[in-house]
Amino acid sequence: MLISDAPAAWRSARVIENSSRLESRDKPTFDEVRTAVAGAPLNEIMPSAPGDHAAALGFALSWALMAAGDGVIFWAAPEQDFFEDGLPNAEGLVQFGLPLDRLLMVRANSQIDALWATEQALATPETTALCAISPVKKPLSLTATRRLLLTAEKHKTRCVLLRLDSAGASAAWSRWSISAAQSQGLGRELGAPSFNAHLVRNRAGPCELNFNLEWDIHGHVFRTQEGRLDAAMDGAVAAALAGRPVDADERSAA
Amino acid sequence: MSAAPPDNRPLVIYDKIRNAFTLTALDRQASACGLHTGMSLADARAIRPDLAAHEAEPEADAKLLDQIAAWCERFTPVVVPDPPHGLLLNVTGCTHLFGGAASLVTKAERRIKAAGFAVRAAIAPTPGAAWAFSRIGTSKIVDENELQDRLAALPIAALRLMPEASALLRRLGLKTIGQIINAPRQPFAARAGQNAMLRLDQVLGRAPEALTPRRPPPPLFALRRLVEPILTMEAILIVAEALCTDLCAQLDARGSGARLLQFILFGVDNRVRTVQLGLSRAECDPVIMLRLLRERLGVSPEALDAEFGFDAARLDAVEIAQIMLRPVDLAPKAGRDAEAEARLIDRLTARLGARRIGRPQLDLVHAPERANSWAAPNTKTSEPPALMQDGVMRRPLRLFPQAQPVEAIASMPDGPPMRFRWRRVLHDVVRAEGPERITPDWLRAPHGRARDYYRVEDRNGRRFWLYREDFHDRQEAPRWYVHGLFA
Repeated sequence: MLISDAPAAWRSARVIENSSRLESRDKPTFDEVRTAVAGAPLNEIMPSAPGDHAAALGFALSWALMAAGDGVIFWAAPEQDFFEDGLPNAEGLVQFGLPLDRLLMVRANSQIDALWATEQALATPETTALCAISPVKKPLSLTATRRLLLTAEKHKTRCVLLRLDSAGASAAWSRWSISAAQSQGLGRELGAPSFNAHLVRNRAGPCELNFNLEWDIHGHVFRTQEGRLDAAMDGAVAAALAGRPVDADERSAA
Repeated sequence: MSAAPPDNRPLVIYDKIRNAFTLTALDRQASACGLHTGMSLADARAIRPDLAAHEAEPEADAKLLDQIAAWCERFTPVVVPDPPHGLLLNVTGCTHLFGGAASLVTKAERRIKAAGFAVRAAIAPTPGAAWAFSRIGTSKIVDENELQDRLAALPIAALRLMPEASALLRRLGLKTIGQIINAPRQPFAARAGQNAMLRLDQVLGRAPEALTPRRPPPPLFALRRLVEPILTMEAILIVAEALCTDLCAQLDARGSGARLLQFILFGVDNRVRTVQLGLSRAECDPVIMLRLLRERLGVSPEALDAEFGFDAARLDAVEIAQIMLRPVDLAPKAGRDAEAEARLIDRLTARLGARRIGRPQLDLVHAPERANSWAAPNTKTSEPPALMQDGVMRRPLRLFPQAQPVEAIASMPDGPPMRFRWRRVLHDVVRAEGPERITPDWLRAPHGRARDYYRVEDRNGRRFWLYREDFHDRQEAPRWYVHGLFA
């Protein structure tokens, strides 16, 4: 009773504690940042470029998996968005580490229906909801995100918004911008799912941080690869591609 | 059931019986002219050349009768159509709701008459007697004590006998039921037939008569008849709340819950609107029931089409299941709450429709585009395949329903692509694994081409699932497609 009466105070105390610890070091690790924002009711994930939708979805799913524990993962999306970038593939989801019997999916008619369904799901205890916001002319309003935040706060559930629209003002506690990262495999083989995560904003601590992450499908954790990014930039990969013309089109990739 | 005659001409309905057009129904004016059913159409035309004759439509008649039967369900859930133009209502225990038997008969008659039908009604202790009194004689309400006396005065025709049996009895000079009511059983049955004996027993209630209602009566239901017709959704919901409370009290008393509900609104225009509501678990909580009903009605209020309003509403528990009481977990573990989950699914289903809620399911099919199916949330999932040891995905996270063509260049005809252009963006392939050959289903697509799948990663780290269609003659360039995206 006491705790539920003063959740805001309790939370802010924890945030201050976390942020003071983070500030004491030069560069916080991903796990430190994640634990600081993981309990937050609302987080946002967006692709950093239009071609990174799949990477953002992968990151959002893994975030939901980490947050859910043993609970249900609820996934709502407008139908139109489902077809735009392909349907969720059951075999792929299983190989990503997502047990299908813990997934509850809503293929909504419209964005409004998807948001309504998410709100209903957030009112169910022990649920982690993932709601995809499809690119439409009018981006999601601050009020809509605030509604989700309040519902999640009230019922102590967590919500992840996958924002494929032009994300503007939002009530979310953190926002991650995700792009695909080169995987690490032997020779020319592909490695585990990898992401470049950029923490754009964070109400609970420092932001503008970059992480290079690899998803562990067995342990449901991210492994950071410190220095991997720099190695790649130094030309470890570029060497393998030597002699290949750099295409100008790539820069204008849309 | 007579339609209004277009002018002052007598109206008859005829049908083809044993290769002759025979009158099957006529209006009052026609019968005043001396016409009767069973007369041939030619004879009738000879008597009245200006006759308006229409051919019978038995199917339309049956449909109309069913419609009237549906409307009559406002009086009792047990309504038995008795074709060609009768309805039997079992009003046992219902009459007090309408202010007594007499008032019930008057109300039913008045309402059906107002809709333009000729109607006769009677209430009697047995279905056979009700049949008899509604067709012959003037008695409207007959109770158990006076049944024998009243029946005795009726002619034999009131017994629903076979034509041969009634002809025989007429020949023997037996004209009223009173003459045979106490006849010795054995000789009577031997002469008139077992059927006549049975009919006589049924009309007196000595033998049971099985009736097949229009729809099986709901095990439990709640009914509200309204003084004034209601039009607005708010009013409908207030009535629905009362019905939910009623029904749940009945369910609770039996320790059971409803799995399928039917909300029936009886319109002033003599039409019936029905809303069905399925639940994922047996429920006897009026609050939950009402909330779901509100969602369900709220989706399409215009579909109810209130028009002139509703003057009665009924809530049926169509499917009833026992509620298993589970022990209350006082120290719940974190994890899934099956009850809350079921409620969530119910809420979503009521508003969005069952088709939109579920989960992708893995089918053990070789063709990747058919390995996905959509399963309802409550279905059991099959045993998931083991995870990849190395943590690398072999199948994409998202799969295009239709593979999208790309322009690709490969270093060797059989090798992986070096670069490809998809959606006008050029991708340089840095990593590639393959080929993985997936041959088409020989049964479904015997002429389909085999596909060589490659998992590739471009310079930006984006991973794709590409395939090359197997080409038979090496003359044409191989065609490449992108079929899915990896995380």
